Amino acid sequence: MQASPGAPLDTSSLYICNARAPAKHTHLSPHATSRHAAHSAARELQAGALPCHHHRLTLCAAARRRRAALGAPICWSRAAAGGATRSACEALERSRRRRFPAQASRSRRPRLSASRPRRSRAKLTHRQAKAKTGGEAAAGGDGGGEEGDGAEGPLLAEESFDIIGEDDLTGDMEDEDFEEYEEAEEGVEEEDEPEDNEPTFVTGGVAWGDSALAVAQKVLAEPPYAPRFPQH
Amino acid sequence: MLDLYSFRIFAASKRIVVRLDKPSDRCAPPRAAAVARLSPSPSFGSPTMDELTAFSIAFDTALGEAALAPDMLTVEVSSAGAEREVRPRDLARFVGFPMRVTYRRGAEGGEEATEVLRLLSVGAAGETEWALADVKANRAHLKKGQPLSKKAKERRVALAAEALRKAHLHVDA
Repeated sequence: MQASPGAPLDTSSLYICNARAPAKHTHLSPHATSRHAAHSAARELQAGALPCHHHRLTLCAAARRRRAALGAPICWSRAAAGGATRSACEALERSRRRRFPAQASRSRRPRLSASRPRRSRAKLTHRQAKAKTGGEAAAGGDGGGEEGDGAEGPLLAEESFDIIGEDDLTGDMEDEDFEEYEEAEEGVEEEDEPEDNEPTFVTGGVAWGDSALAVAQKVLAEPPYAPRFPQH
Repeated sequence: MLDLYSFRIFAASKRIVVRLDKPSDRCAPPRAAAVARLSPSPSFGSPTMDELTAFSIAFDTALGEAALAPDMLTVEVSSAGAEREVRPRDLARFVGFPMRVTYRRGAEGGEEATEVLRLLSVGAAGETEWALADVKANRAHLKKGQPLSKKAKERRVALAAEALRKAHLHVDA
């Protein structure tokens, strides 16, 4: 299966797999250069590597507007352990390794500038604790999460890991950028991440809310949606 | 053909979250969790990645043309989710599926109960009949490998439309 490299999916500056075990949510935000990997990974998920119908699979295309402004071309994955999310990240890793075999041997930790402290282990532990309380106990301790180079078998360590930086894929990622990005992401989660398994229609009290809803309904009323990435 | 399952705007974070449903996606219900895991195709009313992509692009374009929303906007398009809430009108689509059901016992004012049940049938007036689902959650109190008892399997729960409070698809994790 192959994604069309020229497809105008987006001009995003980021490619993200943000897999959250308790929420069963895999979040893909393709980057122009890693679009292929994102889509092949998504297809791999759909083809059975992961029961994607057990997951919410989010394709975050228009996120570019916000995230591009952060100016941080990064590619990272985060998972809170759990077999399914680990499978998702493994699928992404396999896709990336196929796409960028030469880069797969390098460390995937984000480069951290010397002027700022490395992300504290306490924060990781806190995340793991959150994951555990969320019903998906993270197996093992904080063993680091560094990957073996080109190793067979599970690509990710058994224990919960935090970040797989991909500075060599999409450019350098500065620590400040990462912090800013993560703060933005976490702010969203903590501020208003909904219990979104419910079929609700909320326009947030903004003046353009109803119009945006009408646009969505209009788009849906105008099929067909010709696949832009036909399966081969 | 896709349908809007939910639509939310988060003004503070300038985010639109769109969840899409695919009513035409009607596959046989999973016989067991293992089968569902191996199933190569979505069977929970899930749009494909291509459909999500197509909608995302079309919606983004339409939003841009309409010039409604602020430019710094995040749009998230996704399927309705594995553990989605099943709307009463959608119940018939999910006959045979295990669901986490919250319902009222007895008459008006009775206490509420939540169980993982399997939907057997839906009547014309919205009344439903359920059986205990053969899922891990219902076997938690049993020894490993021990099946549900015959009595538990034969137990039926008949609910009037107004007694059914909420039903979410259940995924045996």
